[in-house]
This record gives sequence, C-alpha cells and structure tokens, in this order.
Amino acid sequence: MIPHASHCLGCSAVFFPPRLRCHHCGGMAFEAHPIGAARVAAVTRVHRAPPGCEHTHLVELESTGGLRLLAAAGFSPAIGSFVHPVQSDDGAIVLTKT
Amino acid sequence: MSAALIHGAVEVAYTRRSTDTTAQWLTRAFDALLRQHDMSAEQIDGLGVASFTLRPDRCIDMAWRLGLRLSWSMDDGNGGVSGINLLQHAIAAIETGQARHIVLLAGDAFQAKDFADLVANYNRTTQQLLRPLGIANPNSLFALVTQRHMARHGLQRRDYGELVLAQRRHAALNPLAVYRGEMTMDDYLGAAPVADPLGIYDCVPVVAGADAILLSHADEVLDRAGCVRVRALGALHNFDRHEGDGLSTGLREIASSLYERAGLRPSDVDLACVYDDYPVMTLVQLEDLGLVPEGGLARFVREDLAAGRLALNTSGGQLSAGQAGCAGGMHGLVEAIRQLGGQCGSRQLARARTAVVSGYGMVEYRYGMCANAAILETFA
Repeated sequence: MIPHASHCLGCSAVFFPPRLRCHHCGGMAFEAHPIGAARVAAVTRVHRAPPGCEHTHLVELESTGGLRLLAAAGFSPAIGSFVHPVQSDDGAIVLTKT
Repeated sequence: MSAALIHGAVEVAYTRRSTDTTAQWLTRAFDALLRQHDMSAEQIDGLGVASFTLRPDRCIDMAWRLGLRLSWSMDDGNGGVSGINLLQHAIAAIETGQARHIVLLAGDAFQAKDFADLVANYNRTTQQLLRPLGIANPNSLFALVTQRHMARHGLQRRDYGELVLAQRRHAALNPLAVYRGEMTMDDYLGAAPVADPLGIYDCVPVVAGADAILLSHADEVLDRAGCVRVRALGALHNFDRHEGDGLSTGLREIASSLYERAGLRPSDVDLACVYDDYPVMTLVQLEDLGLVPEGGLARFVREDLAAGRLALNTSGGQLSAGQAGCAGGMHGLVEAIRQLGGQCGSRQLARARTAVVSGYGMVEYRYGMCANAAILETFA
C-alpha cells in the first residue's frame, strides 16, 4: 500500500509520523492521506545489513508539506529524483525500481 | 548563589565487554565516589540513576542494593541528556531542602542481546517504522544527517576526521579511555565503512562502565577545594517538534540565555565537553553553543582543532573513551568536573575555571529530540 500522512481535520497541518494532537490548532481528529511522489533528499549505503535483509540503502525522502520519511531500498536512488514509496504490511516503507 | 555544590565525580574504568551486571557497575562507581570523598552511605539521602539496562530495577532497587535511605530519588533513561537532566533536578532538590547529599549514577553493561533489543525497541516509532526497515539504526540515521551536513557546510569526510583525531590525541593521555592507540588520517579515511559516509571511527564504540557525581548542600562542605558550581543550566527538548532537518538542536535557542546567566561569553570558556555520539552532532552543537561562529565549521576543523585552540572533549570523548550506554550522558560532566577540580593528571588543562557541557540524544524517528547544557565553574 501507499504510506499515509496524517492530516489534521481542524487546520491544514500535515504530519508524519502521525501525532496524537495537532500543535497548531489543538485538534485531535486526523485523516490519513496517501503520500504520492517524494523527492530523494539523502541516501546512505549501509554496509552492515542484518542477515536476510534485502535492503542495502536507507533513503530520506521529502514530500509535499515538508514531510520527511525514511525508506529502505535495494538500490541507490539519485538525490533529487522523485520516487513513489510503498509501505509493506509490517510497516516498512520501501522503494522499488519501476 | 546556588546552595548546591558539585563535590566531585568519578568514572570507573570502562571495558569493551563485561559479564558483570549493570547494578554491579553502578555499585562500583558509587563506592569509588564515596571513597574519594571519605563519606559514608548513611550521609547520602538522595539518589538519581540513569541507565537503559538496569531494568526491571529502578533507582529504588539500586538504593536497596546499596543500603541507602532516601528522601529524594529519581530515574532517568533519556540517554545522552540524562546526566545534565539528573543534575538539573538534583540542584533543585538541594536548593529546596529535599536532600543534603545526592549521588547521581549513570551506567550500562550491555550483553549482545540487550543492545540489539535497545536499538530495535527504542520507542514506539522505532518499533513501527524503523525496525521493519532492517537497516535503520543510529549509524545509518546519522549517516544521512552527516551527508546533509556535509552539503550544507561544504565539509569533506576528512573534516570530521580532524575532530576524531583531535579527540584520540586527548585519549592518549587518559588512562581510562578504552581506545587510546594512535590514529592517523589514513587510518580514519581507510576505516571499515559502516553507512556512507560513516566509517567505524565515526560511530561511538559501545562499552561497559559507570560514572558518578556527588552534589552536596554548601553548608555540608567544609573543604571546598576542588568543588564546582553550576552557573547556568538549561534544556530545550523537541524544539522543532521533529519537523526540521536535524542540523540544529534546541541548544541554538537557549545558548545566549545560558551565557547571560553565567555572566560569560563563549570565548571565556576554558573547556567544552560536547556530546559526541557522532562527529557531525558535535559540530552541530559547537555551532549551536556559539563556540564556533556561524558558517565557520570548515575553518574550525581545519585550523583551530589542529592548533588546539579549543579544549574539546579532553577525555577523548565518547568516540575514544567509549559510550557505556546512559553513562555517555554523564561522561562529559565528569570530565568537566574533574578538570575544574584539577584532578586530570597528565591531561590537566593549565587553565580550567569554566566549562560548557552539553547533552544530546533520544532519536524519535530521524534525529535526536533532546538537548541540554550546563556552564560549570570552579568554586573559588
């Protein structure tokens, strides 16, 4: 599935990871909106991955509204390029080559 | 002037591996501290403990093991800010009559499983979003921070190496530092890669150990030689609500007020003990604390560090002395207290009257949320 950002129903604030209370308006009601394309802000190749882990790169992404999220990838995406992260059932946000 | 005096501090020799329990390490530090000050456990009526691995025990269980009767007790597991956090509360406790003699303990002895467990379960966000990635851990997170820091400040890998090497030169003079061997820039640049651009010498080495600090009400201390007082202390946690880039900390907002309260300028500081889990964060804090002028990091590492213009992490810091879990949050305080007290042997600074100590840590998702700092002064 597509990872979701948390949109405050009381104002326009957007959060990731989700919070429990909006610090802008005090609202506690949120709606999940899918995070579409995100820009690659930083990439690190991890040399000591745990056994069985197929990911080799940890990637920091920037999405609309200044949201930043972390994703794992089995390749090195170019900094500045736009990608479409997906979220596995276990919560992992990953990048796949398209 | 505050009624609370820092009477003294100890660090017991850290080791790379230990089969002793965390409680045993904390006991060792407690005992060494009492012996250093010729005090009996009966006199201690306050105890604060910072540890990840003492669990399921808490401060009160430690008090029971040590046979202490307490009017003040406090637990703190906030990693890199735990030492200054405990100090902040202990000063208030003494000033308001809650205790007369307080011992603050910090330490950890990880078994292999303990450390993996701590990294995987640091908080809920880690459990839900970082652990599933398989490769997200403090090393890879601060690799991303370092990469963006390099781009922001025009720094090269070797610039971070200058900091690591400078601290290793200090460690050579500290018999308690775990990693004291000479290191060259070639060693640093050629080190085994961990998460680009970080190699093993950028990542704080995990060791076992414990530290302890004694605070007393000034009226209880007849011989005040070697005593230290806190001129100013402040904290700002979650300052950017974790919506920033991790390239600054809450220290940026509180630094000027700290110096003002201490009646000092950054240039008056004789010693800086800046939290050093990764070189990038030490550089970030140096700028936040005003010890390096805005935009001056490249010049600082390339010229000032090599020339020894700032006494920085004179114990070798955690990068060379080792990080014994939560003791990492007390290590810099202990070094500053001992330098100001004139107890640092061959690495004793010729002039050590004022010190700035900072704490940093508690990664929520992408970087550390917590920051605090204290300005200490020799009791004259």
